[in-house]
Amino acid sequence: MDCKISTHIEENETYVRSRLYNCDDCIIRPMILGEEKKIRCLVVYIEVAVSNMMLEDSVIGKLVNHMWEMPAEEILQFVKENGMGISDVQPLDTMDAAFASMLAGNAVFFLDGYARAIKVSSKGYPNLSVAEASREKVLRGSKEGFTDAVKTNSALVRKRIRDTRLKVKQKTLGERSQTLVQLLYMEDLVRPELLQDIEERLDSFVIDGVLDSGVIEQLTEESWISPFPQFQTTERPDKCASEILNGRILLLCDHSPIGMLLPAAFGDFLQVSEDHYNRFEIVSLQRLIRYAAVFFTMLFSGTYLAVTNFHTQVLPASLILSFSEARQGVPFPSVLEILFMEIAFETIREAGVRMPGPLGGTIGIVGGLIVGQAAVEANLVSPIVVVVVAVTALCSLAIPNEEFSAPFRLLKFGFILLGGTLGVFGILLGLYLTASHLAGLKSFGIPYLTPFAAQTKAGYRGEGDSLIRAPFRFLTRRPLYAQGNQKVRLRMEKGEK
Amino acid sequence: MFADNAQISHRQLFRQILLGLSGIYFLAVPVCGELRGRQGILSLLGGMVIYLFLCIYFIRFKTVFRSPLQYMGKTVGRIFILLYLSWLWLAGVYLLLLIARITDRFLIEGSVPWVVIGLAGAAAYLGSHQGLERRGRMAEVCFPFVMVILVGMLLLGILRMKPEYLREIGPLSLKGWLKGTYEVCCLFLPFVFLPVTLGNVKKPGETGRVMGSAVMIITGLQILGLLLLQGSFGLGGYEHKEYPMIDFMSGIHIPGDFLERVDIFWLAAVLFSVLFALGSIFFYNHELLVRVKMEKTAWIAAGGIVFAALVCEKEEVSLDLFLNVTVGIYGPLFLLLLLFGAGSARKKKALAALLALIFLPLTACGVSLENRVFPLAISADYQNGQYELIYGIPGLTQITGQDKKSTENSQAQAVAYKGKAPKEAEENFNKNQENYLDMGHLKVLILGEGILQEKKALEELLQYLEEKPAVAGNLYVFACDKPEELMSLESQNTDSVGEYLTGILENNLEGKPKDAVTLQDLYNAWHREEEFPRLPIAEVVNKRPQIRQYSW
Repeated sequence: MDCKISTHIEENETYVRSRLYNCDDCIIRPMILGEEKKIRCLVVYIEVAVSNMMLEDSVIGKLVNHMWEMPAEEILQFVKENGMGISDVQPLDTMDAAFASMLAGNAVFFLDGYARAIKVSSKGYPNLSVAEASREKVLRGSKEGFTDAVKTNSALVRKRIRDTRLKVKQKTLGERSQTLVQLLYMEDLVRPELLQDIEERLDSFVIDGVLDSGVIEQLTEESWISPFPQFQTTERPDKCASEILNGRILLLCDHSPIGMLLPAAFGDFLQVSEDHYNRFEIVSLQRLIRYAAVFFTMLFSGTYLAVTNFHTQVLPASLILSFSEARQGVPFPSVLEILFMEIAFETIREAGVRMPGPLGGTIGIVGGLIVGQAAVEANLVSPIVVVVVAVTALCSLAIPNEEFSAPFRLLKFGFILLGGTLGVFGILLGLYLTASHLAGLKSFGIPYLTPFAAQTKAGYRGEGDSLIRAPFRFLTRRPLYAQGNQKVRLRMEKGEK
Repeated sequence: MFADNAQISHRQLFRQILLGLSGIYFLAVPVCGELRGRQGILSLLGGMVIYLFLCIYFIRFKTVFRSPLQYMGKTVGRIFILLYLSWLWLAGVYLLLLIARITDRFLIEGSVPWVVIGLAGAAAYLGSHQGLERRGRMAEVCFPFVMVILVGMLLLGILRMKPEYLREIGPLSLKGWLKGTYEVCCLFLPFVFLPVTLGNVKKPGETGRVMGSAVMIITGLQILGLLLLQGSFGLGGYEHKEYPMIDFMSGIHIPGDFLERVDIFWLAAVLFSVLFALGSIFFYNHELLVRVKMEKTAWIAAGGIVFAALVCEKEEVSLDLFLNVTVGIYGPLFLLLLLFGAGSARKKKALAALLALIFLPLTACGVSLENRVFPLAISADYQNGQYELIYGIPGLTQITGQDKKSTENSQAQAVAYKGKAPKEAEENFNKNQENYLDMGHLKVLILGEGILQEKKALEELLQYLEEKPAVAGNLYVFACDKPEELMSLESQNTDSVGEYLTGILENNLEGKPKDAVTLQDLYNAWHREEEFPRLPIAEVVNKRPQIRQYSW
């Protein structure tokens, strides 16, 4: 039952104190305002979030100081009319609304004789400030990255799209965490059914706490069993702005510096923001390398095993003899040998990610020297296996999106077992199953293999921005995510060629 | 969303047809009795014309398959669909057996057939039950990869052709042509299942062009395949082979020679295509049963296909049986059934089923590199009713320049084994060697005087080598008076005999490779009952191999 705010300050204070029992971080500060000290009031706030309320230069401080000197009879009128002209002052009718505001990091005023509370915005909870995007570095383009505060993040996007057609829909998720989630989209570009779909999915679960966008991702994706991500994650506002202009939706979650773009297809994960800032020839080459990296990550180790254990005739005699000589004296079967090295690499990688910055480099040296050189010298593994694992590792690092790289690193182990036990036949089975799975996968109704599949069906023939990137002046059409009547995104003026 | 309309595009239909059928036809067409020479080409063209005509009817017949019970009545409709299904099941068994046998012969020597059949069945079934859209997208994405390999390597195969073989046009008679055309019609029976799909294709009335293009491209590829086989093996040179196209591919080189044998890629592409076809069979099985309201039995039927394949494998049923049944029974039957028709398809529901993983009983069938020996040269002689095979095994340390610890494999050796048959000599080798004999890198075959004078012995040797898929047809063959002396160079810390002789042939501008004789030339002469070509003579001069003149 939602409790109404009383006109009697004593009743409000009793209620507030009962709700905030044992909440020592919450400050309840009674005050008597006005020239004759007749008006009693109560300020409720979270200590750290509103630490400087009495300072002269803070909004709340100014408000209190002003009311301190006012005649008592004018204070109520002053408050009702927001005489200070403070931008974010909002009256609240119920206690629940008042507590929600307070817990969101604002100060809440209760005044005797006034049946509403007043929310006065403050600096809110402590947050990191805008910093350089650490996971997605670029050579060209903005260096800004998202922060943990959802409103800062949406402001960073708004900074790039100064158009009222950019809509921000806000809702809270988590019964206890009350996490703020925002959906950003261009009103005229987004497909309405897509917007409706994500809103329905966000309403489809009740959870006690959402502490990161990853929780939302897992609860709303279409195929929860698939290792492939169905949202594209990024920490770059410029990337998000660019994709919103393509008709996609950005989902931002408070406490998470990661924005989630939807829908997401295979090709999207292999694009980076600077792809559109650099020249098309170079970008096309880089794209081809990334696509090759995907296949190498998944298949290289398994194929090596298939060739060396079953189909040696594929390689030139000199090479296979060299491999054979390198394997002499290694005590483990080649499948175990390569599994050992791959697991060693994954361990080094895991350790490197968790290590503080300066130690991360050390881990690389330890991994390279001990697991590589020492293992070879001790005849635990053959040199060629180190080369194979190193190439696989390099390729996995060349995939620009970590979430997208992970399933291929996982599949790699499957292909190692298949290639090692069944040779090329096993690799074929694995490829067939992978292709079949990807063909059946969808992200918010969009086939995952778009634009390589389902192009013509969607009335869409590719905008020259998939495997290779066409010159920017030819990228005149939006991808298929946008509404059918909003395909054109670039029009060259007459005379331009 | 825009994609959720349970329909596929023309492009997806086109690619599904080609991806599913091109692989299997490369294996099936060349072994059909009437499809040889110009008669084969004309028969393929005849079959193509008939199916181009039938494409018009397929569009009309889609209504029959949309709701067979409504169209034909409950009993007749079910009989009609079960009749269709029976061929589908037969084809499923055939494809599973084909996969198992090809895998055993070319991919995993000594593989366990039930494991291969089980795995292939499971993989194909898992990819089949979630509707036509999924299959369409899969075909759309996989098609370019598979076709680039299939067609690209066919084009590379053109370099293997010999003009004189192409001039052998073969017999042509009206009866033979009609029979051949009929065989093609029977082989193209999978097309009669297209009406099942057409109801789910965007603008089904305009699919005639798509189907027609697919029929023409498949026919074109098969004609190219026949030309390549004839140009490479000559008329009569490949009829006895079980998988002529695969054997043909073993001699393909890619420019740059950075890979020694690339036939494995072609075989992989064919097998992927066959797996896709098998997935299509499971898909149509489910789809047709849904339309006669028997969808609950779909998984039983799928399991039955796998079980039947296992039984057939155990009983060693010949693959020809399936082709004969198709040509003798289903061909005429289906063509007659095409005279009935009307309908379109219904939206499908996915039926999830997961077969148990059967990896656990698998053991690594492959042999690790360090446990293999790679002879680069082999000599064969025949004296006193016995074959003597000498394997020239190079020293790894010498040939690779690596300085690993000395093992038996590191030392060059020339080991001789005798037997009443080449197979027996190899068995004696295996009894005496701890390592697996890998003949995949054999570069030269040296024939002694004894075997050259005994034609039957030579033919037995050729038969032995031909049955070994690892032995490429493009290895060079030499004659030698004293093979023991030549092969003994292998163990005298000189270069490998195999590498050395190949080097002389390929790197010496005077002695052009075109003058060399390959094993394939000997196969061709033997199968075509021609005189064997003259072989270059290899001999030892200054403790080095040398190629001097021609034998015979």
